[in-house]
Amino acid sequence: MDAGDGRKVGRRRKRVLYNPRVTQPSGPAERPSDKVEPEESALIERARGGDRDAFGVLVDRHHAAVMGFLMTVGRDADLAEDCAQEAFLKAFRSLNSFEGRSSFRTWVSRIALNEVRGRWRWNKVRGLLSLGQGEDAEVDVESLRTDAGSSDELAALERRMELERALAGLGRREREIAALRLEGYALHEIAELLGISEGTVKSTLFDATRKMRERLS
Amino acid sequence: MNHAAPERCRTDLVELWALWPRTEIPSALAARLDACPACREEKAAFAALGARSRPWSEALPARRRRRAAEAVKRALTARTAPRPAVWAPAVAFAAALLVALWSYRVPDVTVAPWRAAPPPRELLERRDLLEHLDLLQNWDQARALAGEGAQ
Repeated sequence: MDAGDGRKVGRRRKRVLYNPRVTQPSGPAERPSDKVEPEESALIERARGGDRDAFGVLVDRHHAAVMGFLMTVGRDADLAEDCAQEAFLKAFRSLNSFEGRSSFRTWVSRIALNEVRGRWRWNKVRGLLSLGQGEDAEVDVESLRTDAGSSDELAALERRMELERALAGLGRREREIAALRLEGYALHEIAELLGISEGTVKSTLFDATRKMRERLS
Repeated sequence: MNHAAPERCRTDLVELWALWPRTEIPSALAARLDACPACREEKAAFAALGARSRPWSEALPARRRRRAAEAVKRALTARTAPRPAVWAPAVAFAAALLVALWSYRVPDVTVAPWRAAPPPRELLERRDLLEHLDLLQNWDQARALAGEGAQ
């Protein structure tokens, strides 16, 4: 799988373009939900041919989840938005390298995660973290409060911020896993995305939720 | 509170928390958890945290969510569409400027100095002097040597 930034994930192998008509070899870790759904594969095929509207449907379908987990990982709404946008643009440009071995959402999320990690490293180098974006910083939601159109939306935002304060006390890996899980990613999707086993995801979740409960109580 | 069978309970609890943020528990797992008082407490904590857990995709204000997705689609069109050749006039102007400068400089570069300012006729007539230019250049030194000899 290509991580979207030119680096190959896993062992180097002969590049095979994704073809939904060809049955891919299924390993023990693969499940039916790992593969691209027929409707989604049709959209991907159209997008590969330059159909931006088809890719727009994929954006509508997955953008919220991608931006959602980036909010927690990146701790900044604007940064999350930028990284999500960059990830989708990179995905569109490198659709030919998408082999369909994982779901499209997992693939684009991996690109997004690389993007946000890269920016974090760059910020560290530039010393910007001293401006309040440390490892345990909370999500900057000031810009979101101004976007909240109703009291319900504001209340939902505040409730999520409570949870975010609990997430802020987690380690980087714990926070990534919890953020992905919260956005509805399946355990095997998280394992594939982070390159770890499903058992590690489960045990990390166990530790992470215990810490979160302690911080919330 | 102690667990009835610590190892078995831990396995069940890892399975339980792997379900988070969902709140439904498979009946078989729920039955095992209910058998242990400490696990029952964990089950209640699981339900409580699940109730407080909400994804950003739901908590983000709808306006922001829509705006962010639209921005991606706009960027997709802007960055992948052929860009208008806004640089073409600038390149044409720069090329014209270079040609003009070159044309202006051509006479200075190509005309030989002796054509621009020919040497005096009398100097050319003294060809014998030119052939022994090195001697003329050392004339002062030779004269000085000659003076020392005479003394």
